[in-house]
Amino acid sequence: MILETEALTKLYGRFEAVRDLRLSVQAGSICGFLGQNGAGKSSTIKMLLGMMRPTSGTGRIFGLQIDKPEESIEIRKRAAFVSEDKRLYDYMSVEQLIRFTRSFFPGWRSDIEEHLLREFELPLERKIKRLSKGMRTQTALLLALCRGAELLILDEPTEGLDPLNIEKVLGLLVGFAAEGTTIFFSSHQIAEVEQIADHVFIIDKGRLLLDAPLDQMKEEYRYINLVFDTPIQAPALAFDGIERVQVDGRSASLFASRNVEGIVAQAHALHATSIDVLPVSLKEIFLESLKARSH
Amino acid sequence: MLWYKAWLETRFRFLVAAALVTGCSAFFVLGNPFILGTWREWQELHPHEVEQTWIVRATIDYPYFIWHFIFRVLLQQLWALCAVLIGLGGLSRESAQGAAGFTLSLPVSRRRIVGVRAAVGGLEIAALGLIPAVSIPALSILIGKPYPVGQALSHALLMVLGGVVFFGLGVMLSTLIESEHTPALVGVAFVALFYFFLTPYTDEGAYEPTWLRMIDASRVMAGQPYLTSPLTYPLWGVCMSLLAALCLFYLSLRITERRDY
Repeated sequence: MILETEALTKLYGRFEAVRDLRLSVQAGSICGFLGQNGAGKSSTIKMLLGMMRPTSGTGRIFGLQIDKPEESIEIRKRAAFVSEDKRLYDYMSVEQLIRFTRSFFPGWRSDIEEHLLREFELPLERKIKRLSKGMRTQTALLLALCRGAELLILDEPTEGLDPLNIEKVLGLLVGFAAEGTTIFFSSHQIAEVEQIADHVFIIDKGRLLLDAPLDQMKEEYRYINLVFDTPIQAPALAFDGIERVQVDGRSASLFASRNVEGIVAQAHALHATSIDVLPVSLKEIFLESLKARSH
Repeated sequence: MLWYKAWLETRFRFLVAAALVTGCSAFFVLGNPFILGTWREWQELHPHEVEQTWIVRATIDYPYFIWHFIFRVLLQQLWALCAVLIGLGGLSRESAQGAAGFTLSLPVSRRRIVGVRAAVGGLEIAALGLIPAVSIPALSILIGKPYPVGQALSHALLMVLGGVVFFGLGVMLSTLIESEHTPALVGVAFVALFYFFLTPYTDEGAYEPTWLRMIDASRVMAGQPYLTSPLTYPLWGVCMSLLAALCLFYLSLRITERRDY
């Protein structure tokens, strides 16, 4: 594992920003880190990079302890980060900022720098404070992607970009992963996560709700719509693998996380007159997981 | 490159401060004949008014005039204000602006970030002290009243060493208050109140209570009108100012190392 956390917890007074978080990220994977606003994504990322101290628990990146300042410096030599707000130094120009950042990373990828400058058409002489939000995001991405990092930790990496540039960035990330770079990114754009991630973590109120490979999720999660001759009660449908049941007279809508075949067999046994098994998108899995937790 | 960043971050403030310090020095040196003429006219109009001691001396003693206006009062106050303002910045300010995440993603320790920032600021306030040390003797030649370079350098050195606590205060305020503008407002208010409070004791010979004398950095920065040897330096005061500044830096460093960003 390139990144691991053990019971990672961050409290702000009595508020639990992150509670008992256990993450494992495999080298070379693209991991989507999903959650609502305030779910604890940014706090987790900040703890991983040594910007925040965990209240308890710990974590390792490249086998180095995230909560030890000396080891955190070693981590940051090999991991790149794009923060949620993409704020950089307003008093520097794009060129100055590139030169400044490059000086900290001996493995700086000048080829990627040239490529991205062309792709994003960034104005080198312009001060950061004069850049649009999209250009700031592009600059932040350039500064992270050129570091020659083994791990990219990206907090909302496409925020502020237009659809064309979002596609460019997602393509780049896939390219980096193909070269062996591990990518751990948070996003509110679930479609983007679905497009490139091969593993998904869903966090809510600081706790891990879901941790599974995306393919496995999409294979196992299903909506199952049932219709019966007579009205049915929800408890009768509490089958193994059901996350949520919604009953409306003779019809019922089930959200299943596994055991779809068994559920269908049990629905037949209850004399369902119609059984529809529908695939689910990652967005639906995300929303249903949150609903299931709130119930 | 952290040095380069710290320079770019403070460059505007430093250049404005340098212009103000130069302007202030030039105003009192080149304005010396005009100021003396004004005093003379006033004395002729009010022959029965008793002139203050320092005016009498400043009229006949040019180095004293320079010491009073520049190293003791106005330039010193301006320099102290600039030292506080140059001390502002660093990670807390970046946190308020949203850029701390980028800085902290770099493979450098917080200790180094704070240390480089303080070193660049320290060099800048020293350079601000050097400006009058160079400009006063040079401009004095223009009005035909030579001022010794050694004397100017000695006063400038004393002003910087005695006043380094103001720079430490700026660093500390910036660390404690996570805001873009509030530390600057607090710093300016502090300097203004400090000098306002000391105004009654600015005249030479005015009685200053012992407790106030102990914390009067202004008196340490000014020293005596003539600094003929290191023994004429208020060495105890300089040591206290340096120690206070070191304590403020150390506390700022410890707070920065422990803080969540």
